[in-house]
Amino acid sequence: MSKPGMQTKKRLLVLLGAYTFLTFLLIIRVGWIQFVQGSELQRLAYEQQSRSRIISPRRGTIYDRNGIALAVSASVDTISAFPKELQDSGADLEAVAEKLAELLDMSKEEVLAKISKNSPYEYIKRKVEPEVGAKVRAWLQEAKIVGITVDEDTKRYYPKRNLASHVLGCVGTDNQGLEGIEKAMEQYLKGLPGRILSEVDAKGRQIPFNRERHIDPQDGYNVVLTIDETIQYLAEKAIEKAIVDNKVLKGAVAIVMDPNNGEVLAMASKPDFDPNSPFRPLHIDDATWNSMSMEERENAIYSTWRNKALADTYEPGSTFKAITASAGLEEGVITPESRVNDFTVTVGGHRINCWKPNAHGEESFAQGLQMSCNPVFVRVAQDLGIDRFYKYMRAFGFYDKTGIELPEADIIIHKRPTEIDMAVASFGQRFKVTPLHMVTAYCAIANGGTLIRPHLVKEITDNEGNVIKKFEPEIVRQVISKKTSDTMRKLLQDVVTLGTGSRAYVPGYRVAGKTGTSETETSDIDGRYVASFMAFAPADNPRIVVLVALDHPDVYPHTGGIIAAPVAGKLVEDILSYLQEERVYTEKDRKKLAEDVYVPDVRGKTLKEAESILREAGFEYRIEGDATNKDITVKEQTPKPETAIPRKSTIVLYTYKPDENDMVVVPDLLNKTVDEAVAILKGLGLNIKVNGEGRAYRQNYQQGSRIPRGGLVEVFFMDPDEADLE
Amino acid sequence: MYFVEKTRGINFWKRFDYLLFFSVLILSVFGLVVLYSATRELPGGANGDRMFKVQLFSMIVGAVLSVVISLLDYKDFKTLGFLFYLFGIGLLILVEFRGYSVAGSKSWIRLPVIGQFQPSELVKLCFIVFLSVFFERIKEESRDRNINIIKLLVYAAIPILLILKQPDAGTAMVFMFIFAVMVFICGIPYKYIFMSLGAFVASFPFLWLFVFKEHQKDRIIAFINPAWDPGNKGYNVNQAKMAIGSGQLFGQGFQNGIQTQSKGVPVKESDFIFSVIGEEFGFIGSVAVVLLALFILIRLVTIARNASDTYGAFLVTGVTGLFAFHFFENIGMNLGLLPVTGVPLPFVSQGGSAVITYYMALGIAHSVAIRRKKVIFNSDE
Repeated sequence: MSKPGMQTKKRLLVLLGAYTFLTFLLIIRVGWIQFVQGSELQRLAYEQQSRSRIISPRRGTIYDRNGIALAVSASVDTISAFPKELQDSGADLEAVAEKLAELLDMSKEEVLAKISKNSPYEYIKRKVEPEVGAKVRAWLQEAKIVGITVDEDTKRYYPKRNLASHVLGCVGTDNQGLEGIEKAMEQYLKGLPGRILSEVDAKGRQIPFNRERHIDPQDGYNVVLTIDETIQYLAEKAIEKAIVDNKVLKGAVAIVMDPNNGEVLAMASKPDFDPNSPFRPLHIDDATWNSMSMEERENAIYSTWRNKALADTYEPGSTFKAITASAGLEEGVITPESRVNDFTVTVGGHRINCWKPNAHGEESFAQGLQMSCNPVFVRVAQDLGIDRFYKYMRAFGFYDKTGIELPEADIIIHKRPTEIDMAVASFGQRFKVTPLHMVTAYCAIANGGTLIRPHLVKEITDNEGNVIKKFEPEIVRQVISKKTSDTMRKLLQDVVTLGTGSRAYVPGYRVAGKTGTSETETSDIDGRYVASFMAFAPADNPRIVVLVALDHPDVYPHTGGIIAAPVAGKLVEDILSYLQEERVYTEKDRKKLAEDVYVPDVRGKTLKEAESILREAGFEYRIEGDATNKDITVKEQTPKPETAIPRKSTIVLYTYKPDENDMVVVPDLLNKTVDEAVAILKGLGLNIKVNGEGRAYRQNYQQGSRIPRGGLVEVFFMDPDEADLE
Repeated sequence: MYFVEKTRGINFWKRFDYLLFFSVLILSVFGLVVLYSATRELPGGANGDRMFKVQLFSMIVGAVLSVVISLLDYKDFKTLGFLFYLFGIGLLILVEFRGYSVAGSKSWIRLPVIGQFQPSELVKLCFIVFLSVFFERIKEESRDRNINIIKLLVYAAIPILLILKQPDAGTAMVFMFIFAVMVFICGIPYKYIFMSLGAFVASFPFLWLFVFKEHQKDRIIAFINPAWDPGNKGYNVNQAKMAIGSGQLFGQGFQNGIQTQSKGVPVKESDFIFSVIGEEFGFIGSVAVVLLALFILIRLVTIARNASDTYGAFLVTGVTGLFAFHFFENIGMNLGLLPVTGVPLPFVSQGGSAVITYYMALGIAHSVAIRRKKVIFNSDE
């Protein structure tokens, strides 16, 4: 036996050297492929894999704060083709196209073009109802067609149709968020798509009858909004009605926010759209739509998608006086009791008057706010000076975006303000902010002085109900002291109780607020304005801040105090009673309430009984028909039972069934005084409900309409001065 | 009859090459992990679970055989070598008549009890064991040298020709490489090495025109220029490279490779399994495998150098050739460095016959290692 010689050992070492050399060559090559060519190769790999079909994940549901679903995903089917495979199978393309076109309600040519294409994969029709999908499946099986598949997909449904459409937004054909929360919360809602992997050979043909593998999609998370579906509904109905009542031309906004935590309870903007078909505006009828050009249609769609609450800016007008007042009080340049006057001030050659032709003269600052006298606020601003005045504008957040989840418009404001800029800014003119800015600032005034970031999303949850992420209220800064806030709440409550905001008064709910009538760029030409009202209630412990703004009302008068305040007041009343806020009546409220009495039901009773019931309740009555026999039964009465009418109104009792002829034509009461109106209606046998004082400017039944004798006509009166700009 | 001097009284446990054992164990376990991932998504409804089970079973069988072989004294192979060789050639001839084709090569046979089986794998070992006898004679004995060289060439040529006839050029190249390495260790003068290289280059046009089959030519062209690809010959390599490139530093993760899990790479469970490592385990995983392979080769060369006789040294040299070719060719073709041949990656690629063969080859190496020459100052003996 002999051991391996030196030469063998040497050669083995050479061999080892060669092996080592080759190894390092491999390592360098791996590095080259993975680092230098890596991203390009990865892109190619992903591109290639897109041949596998995607299963859309189930997009998360959007709920309101009480768990009511506002946007849900439903299962549908998507029909797609593997054209090469279909062509190779020798199927009659014409026949396939014809049958598919029939099943899918498409044109034969369109289907034929798709399945004749030289491509590995084509959608034929996406998101068809499951019943249609089932029919196609059955036909594919029966006719033994390969190269056409029916895959599960999801489609977005908005069960409440256009409710909160601007907040919710909408999705595109790939279920990607296009607008609103759908877009802003995309990362949570979208989920992870799954795939159907099927064997595709190098030329992109699916190998027939092989097994498919499903990689399950991962469902998206749910988004819980701060929106309350009921409050949203109330807000939308309120401005919809206001748009009709006041012939509003450019839409309206209503925002409801909880001042204590910045939660937006409602955000309504009109015109709006139905997110189920976002590309077909609701307010345009078919005939008009068909006659519109593509560009007109696009503009129409775009205008309905605009969330006026934050994508549009406006001059806040007199509603801004509350900010000027807060700054003045906080800095001590003014107190509610300070004596001021509203005589004309001249700034840089411009004369600024009070809206009231002869001014209010000497008054307290509190009264200046109640009467919304511009010169009073110009003087407060002048006392503050440019630095301090704009410091407060910044502090109230007007220079920043509010920070809500949705995209906001850029504000338009003086970069280097002058004395005259500040003078007009003191009453809210010549700068533009979003309605949401104003609501956010009022929240700070109402809640003790803290500016809070407004938000729409409360939390993110998964399908098991676990909270994935919670959005807590975010305090931006303390703007004014608690003391100033308390004072402002009282002052603004007086604006409603005693001043220009009286039409927002709600018995028992201590509404505070401020009117606003803002100029627009075209006001000088078309005489149209934005009428708005900012309210919060209850004034001593605010639960809601409400803004109602009507853009371009085509009525006269068009001031915020006359047309926006009643809308806001009614909305506050509806919301607070929905929130079960207890009413605390003042002595005056009680007296006023006592004036109205509900009409008792006397139908079917004898005349004798009816007379005694009505007399006891404090009504007067008149009998139509045979009044001689007191035992005759009352066949009909006007007003109808359960109507609230003023005490001492006259009830008409019929001893016969009244026919159409016993109707009264309603007269025109415009500009009549209260006494005149009462006399005219009484003479016609009608009852009147008086709202406000001064001259009549509106009545609930139009002149010339016919109502039954004894019917109740509601007439609205105002001080003629109020019709002018505040 | 040959005279065999046996090594006696050795301590198996003390002389066992644990480094080799554990490096192979690590590679085998990692190989199973990779194979599991590679077989989750297979074309044509192939049964990945079954493949994985067969692989695991083959590894266990191979490991047992490996231990049995390492207990045997390799010097007995000198006398038994010719019988092994005859057995191997017999199998190849049997395949010629009774075998069946997979992917165009008639290299498989169905045997009773064992089942499907690829004899050319086992023949690699017969080849090494028998030819080492002649290499030792040529190296150690001066008489009959030329006769021995002729015998060596003839015995080497027979199995290679039989395998080329299947045709399985890849496996034939394994045999040629093993042979070349052994010739090199035998001490062939460098001038002959360069001369034969020159002869190969010179004969290339002849081979191209008369010997290479169309698919072989296509592979070579596709290798030189992957973009020139009329029949998608470079398709496999491009797919593999896409997978490896997708891996980058850390890989896409176990069972997460988009190529691997979607039928992107053909034959990813065996020929292109390195692309699975590249895609799912990234640069780190790939380099770990390459370095592990180098470490195994280092151990084998060390065993060859320390062998107690020239026969042992040649046996293990043949084994290093076997592994080196598999490692380098397989990884190289995955990386587009070498032309595509159906050569698996040892301990990772799926394939029962191959796995058992590798473990048996290791058994031979261990047998040599345990009976290595006495180390001075070693108190073992």
